[in-house]
Amino acid sequence: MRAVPASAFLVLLLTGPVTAAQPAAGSFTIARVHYDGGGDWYSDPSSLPNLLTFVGANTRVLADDTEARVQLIDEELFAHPFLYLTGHGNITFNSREVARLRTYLEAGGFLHADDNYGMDESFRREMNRVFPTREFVELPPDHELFHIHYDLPDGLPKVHEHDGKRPQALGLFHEERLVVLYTYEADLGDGWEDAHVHGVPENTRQAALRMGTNIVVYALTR
Amino acid sequence: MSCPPGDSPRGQLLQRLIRLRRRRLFLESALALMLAAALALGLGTGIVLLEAALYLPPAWRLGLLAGLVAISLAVPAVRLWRGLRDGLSLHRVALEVEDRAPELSQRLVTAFELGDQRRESGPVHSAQLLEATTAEAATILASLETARLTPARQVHQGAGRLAGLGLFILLLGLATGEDARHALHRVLHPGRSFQRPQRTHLRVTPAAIEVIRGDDVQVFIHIDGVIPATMEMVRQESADRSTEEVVLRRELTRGDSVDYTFEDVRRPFEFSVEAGDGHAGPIAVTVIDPPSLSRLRLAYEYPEHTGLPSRVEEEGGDIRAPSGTVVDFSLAATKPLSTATLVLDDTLRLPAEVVDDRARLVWRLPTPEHDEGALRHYRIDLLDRQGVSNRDPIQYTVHILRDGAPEVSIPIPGRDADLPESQQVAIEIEASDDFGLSRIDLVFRVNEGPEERLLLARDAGRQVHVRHVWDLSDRDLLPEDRVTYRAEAFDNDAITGPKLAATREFVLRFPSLYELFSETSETQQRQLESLEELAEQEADAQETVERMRREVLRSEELTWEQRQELESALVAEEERARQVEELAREMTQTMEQLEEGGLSSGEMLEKMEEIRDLMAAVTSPELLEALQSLQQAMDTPDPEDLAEALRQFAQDQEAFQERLERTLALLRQVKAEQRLLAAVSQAQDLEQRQSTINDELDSDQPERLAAQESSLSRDTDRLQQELDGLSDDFAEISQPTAQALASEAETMEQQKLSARMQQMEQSLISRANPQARREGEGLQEDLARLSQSLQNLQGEFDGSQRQQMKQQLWGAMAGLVDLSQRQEDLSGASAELRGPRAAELATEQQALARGVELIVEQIGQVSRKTLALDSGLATTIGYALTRMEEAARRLGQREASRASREGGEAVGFLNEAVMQLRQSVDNLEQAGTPSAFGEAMEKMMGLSQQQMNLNQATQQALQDGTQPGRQGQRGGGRDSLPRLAARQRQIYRALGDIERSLRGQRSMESRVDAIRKDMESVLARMQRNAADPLVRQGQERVLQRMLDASRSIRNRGFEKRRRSETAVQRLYSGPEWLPVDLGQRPDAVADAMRRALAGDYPVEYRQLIRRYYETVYEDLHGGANGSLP
Repeated sequence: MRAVPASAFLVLLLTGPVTAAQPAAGSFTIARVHYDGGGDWYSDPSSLPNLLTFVGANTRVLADDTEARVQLIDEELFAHPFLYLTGHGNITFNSREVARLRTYLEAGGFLHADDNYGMDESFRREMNRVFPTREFVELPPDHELFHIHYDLPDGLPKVHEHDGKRPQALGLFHEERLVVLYTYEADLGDGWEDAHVHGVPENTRQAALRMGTNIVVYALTR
Repeated sequence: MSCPPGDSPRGQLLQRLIRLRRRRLFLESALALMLAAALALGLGTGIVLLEAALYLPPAWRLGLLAGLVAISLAVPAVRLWRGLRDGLSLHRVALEVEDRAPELSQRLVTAFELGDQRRESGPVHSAQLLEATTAEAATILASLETARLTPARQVHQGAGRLAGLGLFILLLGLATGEDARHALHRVLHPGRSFQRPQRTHLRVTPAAIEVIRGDDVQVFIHIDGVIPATMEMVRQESADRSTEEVVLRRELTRGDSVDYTFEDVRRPFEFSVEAGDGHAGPIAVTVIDPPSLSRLRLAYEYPEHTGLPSRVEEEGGDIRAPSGTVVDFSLAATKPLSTATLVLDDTLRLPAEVVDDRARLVWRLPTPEHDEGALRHYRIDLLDRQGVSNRDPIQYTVHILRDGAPEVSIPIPGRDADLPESQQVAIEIEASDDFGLSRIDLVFRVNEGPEERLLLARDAGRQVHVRHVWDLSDRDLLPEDRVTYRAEAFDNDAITGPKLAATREFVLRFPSLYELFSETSETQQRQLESLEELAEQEADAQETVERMRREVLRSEELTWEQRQELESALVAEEERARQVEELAREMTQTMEQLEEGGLSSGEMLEKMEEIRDLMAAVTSPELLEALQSLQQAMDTPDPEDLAEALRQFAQDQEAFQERLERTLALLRQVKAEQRLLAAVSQAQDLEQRQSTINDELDSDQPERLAAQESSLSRDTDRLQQELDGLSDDFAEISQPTAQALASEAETMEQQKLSARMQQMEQSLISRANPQARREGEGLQEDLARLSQSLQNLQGEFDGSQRQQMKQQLWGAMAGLVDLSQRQEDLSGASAELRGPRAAELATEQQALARGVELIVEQIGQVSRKTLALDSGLATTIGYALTRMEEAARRLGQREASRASREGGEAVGFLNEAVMQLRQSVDNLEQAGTPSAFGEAMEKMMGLSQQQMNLNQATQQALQDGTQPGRQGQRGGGRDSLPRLAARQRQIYRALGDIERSLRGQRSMESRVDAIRKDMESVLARMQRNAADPLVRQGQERVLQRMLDASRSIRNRGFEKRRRSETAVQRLYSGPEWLPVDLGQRPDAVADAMRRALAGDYPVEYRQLIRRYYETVYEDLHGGANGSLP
């Protein structure tokens, strides 16, 4: 398998501003992971288009405003440097998907999993199959992820209240590279959705979008 | 007489004797020579044996040889001398002849001896006699054979013995072998010095060793001569003594032979063997490299119909591709090759084209014939120019994928279900195929009818998610009808034909209203009983807390047992609060069932929803806080704190109890109303069903109609029983309604509706259609009357209830107005208070407060029957009452101005309460209007279906527009976009109507507004005739949101935890830095693998090592649960 050419996207970052209204071939998009298990992998439908639009408008990333959808066994998986996974329910990977996701991540890919409430247990279970000898570690607020484009001194913003827990940015590292970011109890996806969908205040929504931008920029440059 | 010596008998005799003497001399000489030879041979053999045994020095060998010569010469010579000394005289010969020839009868001796005397001493005997004797002796002697006279028997015997000795020595020489030969050689060269040979002789086979790198080498050590006690084998790298190591040391036994195997030989070396004085070696072991793969590049050319792009694997191996794929193998070896062959499953051999150290092969993957899931294997055999083949070539897997059948599922509903009242079912179908789907159908049948097919998607790509609102309302379904359905997906396999996948069959059942109601009614009853039980428990808990509070006040402490009792009560309180919340959630499900079954009106659903919210609010945050405070206070030593906490908790408990009881009362009321409403619906349903049966009397399905009539009869019985039960329930709510219900039940009994239906069933079975028609019409008429009566009854009940409550509220309003005026007067009087009238005014103030309390009770009674009361009313009156009591207290303390101020504020709150009461009456009056939510839901579902159809039409139009040949076709391509845009605009306007009907419901209103905005964007694109994918995506988004909104309208307030609320930001409280290991746990297997891979191995071996550890890893981690990172 070839490594995902993250460096190609770095070049795009440096090529100057491109407006979102002029998507070009080869522009960056986020690939939503279509998984099995019954969970609503398709939830928060307006979140990724909004985030991509925000990223395109506020960074030099040439971003398309349409999300891609991909299953882990799809051929085109390796064409996407950035995967996004979310939902409220159960997630299961079969053994082929486990092996493929590991290969993808070790080859340079990046996965952002956003707990939309209800997927925590199954996601951790499946990731333990992908990396049995690695465990999630919490990223402190001084981590580069929170400062790479926007300065978020308090770390991960919390968009929605679920079980009264604090938000956590959890990372899985491979050879000192952050390959999986799991945002837990934050519900960034709801913050990226259209404002009226969840009635999220604008400042919270902006914080979520900025956090999302940082995640994208971090994933494409590190 | 004298004769010549030669001719005379005596002469003849003498000559004969002389000849005999010569012969004897010859024989003796021959015997001496044979003796000498025998001695020489025997002694020589002895010397050789001695030499062989002792390895004699040259002096010894010379001495022995000299001795040998001396003995060999001396002994025969002595023997010969002795023999000749006595036996060479003629006389002696004559005697021996006389002995061997008795017929001479001494004549010879006589003749010889007498002849000699005569000659020496003259004639002493008769000459004639002597001559006659001599002649006779000569004659006899002449006739005798020489061999008889001098036999050669001894010579012959000696020769035989000599020959035997020679043969013996020859055999001995042969038997002793090399040693004897060497010893003879040394003996024959006695003056030469010879080095003594080794006692132990070692011989190693094979003598020249070449081994392929990595192979084992087995050597054999042959030990001759003396077998020493031990043997040692030393190995050393070529010409490097520092690497010398003893690889074998072992004890030997007689007749031992040794073999040793050098395992996994990778570098050349030498070895030598030492045992006793024996030594072998050094023996060189030369290592040669077999050919191996250094690179395997696979280029895939997929079949055109798969639509997959070409692909190259630079480090290829395992193959997984569809049949028909052309795989181009390019391989490089570590050395020049003579042949390279792809071997498939040890049977098929495909030779590659070889150029130097590279080879190339093209293979088209065949179509698997049988087990498409089975793996095949291939390896690549290499042969170098020296004829050495590659060792242990890797077995790669070949997974030839057949164009698999598609997969299809129906996640929603995903189960057998009952049809809702609308007879519209939202269905979601997910289908996927490896290379694309051609179409997706919904296949269904009604009861045992023929199968019908509904096309849902065409040319849907590799994966599709179809949402479809399936409207079965035009199917004229009757209760207990069953619609069996499944989804079928066809792939786009143009080679072997489209393959089909189908889901399991699901059933949509059209339940009778009675079934639906019975189920939900039981659930409601259970909820009601649970709440009643909780209320009773709460009352007991209040007593416990109050008892504890008094105990604390009395004794200023609680005993350990009392504390335990209190703690248990608090735990139970928490549990009750949780149970109430759980009941509220259950109620949501009940509402959904009622709504889907059409068993409840929109108004009723709203009532239930509000009760549900009320129930959810029964457990107030204050109660939970008080609970927590009390738990903390129990840990403090201050009894006053504990008493205060108990008092506060008791107050909140009381409020909890009140809310619980109000909820209970409302629930009972709503349940009764619900049952009445359901009875009305059931009566209408019975009439409708009877009407349908009557209409179908002319059809050819009398059995089916009879079965339906039978079902109708059962449900009629149930309705009659329900009316009886309902009458009892309404006895406490409305006596007139209870009597009317009992009357209706009695009428049904008198009309014998059920029995007549059974009679009609029999008529249908016997095909007496005219009679059945008469019976059916009569039944329909009676059922219509029943339905109408029940509707009237329900309307009257509703009206009377509302009227009664309005009167109560008007009364309360009038009372509050009066009290407000009196309070205003009192406050004015208080402001001007002078002197001792304060106590009098205080009493009056208390009376006013009691008046308000009476009105509160009056309002409370109404609140147990309706939810129409303004939610802030209780709070406002509470504020007014508090101010009035405070004013009374101030007056008692003669604080006139403060009392006046408090009274003034109370007037304000009382007036506000009057306004809220007025609003409550208005709410009550409007409560009978149709449910905006119900209507909105139905409209939204209908619009969703329209939007779905529009989306499909748009997709088709866009596809047509992209196909050059279809541009000009009527109705196809971009030309149709304006028409589609017009349809989109219609939906947009209809959505505006829904939005207006939802005013006041902010959440839903905003959702619908968002959908309209999305639709505006789509419309703008469509009107610009922009045939871009964004139109399609925008429409999909609109549809998704419409479906979500439909559900949302139905599920308002559902699962608040899941819906979530906007969060409050929190300070970070996790670890301040990343752990040093970044979460990496030790991995013994991976570490071992890395160590193993650290060696300089060819790529094939590296892969082999990796596979080995992966197998170990999978064993450790349970097969598919993981593999080695």
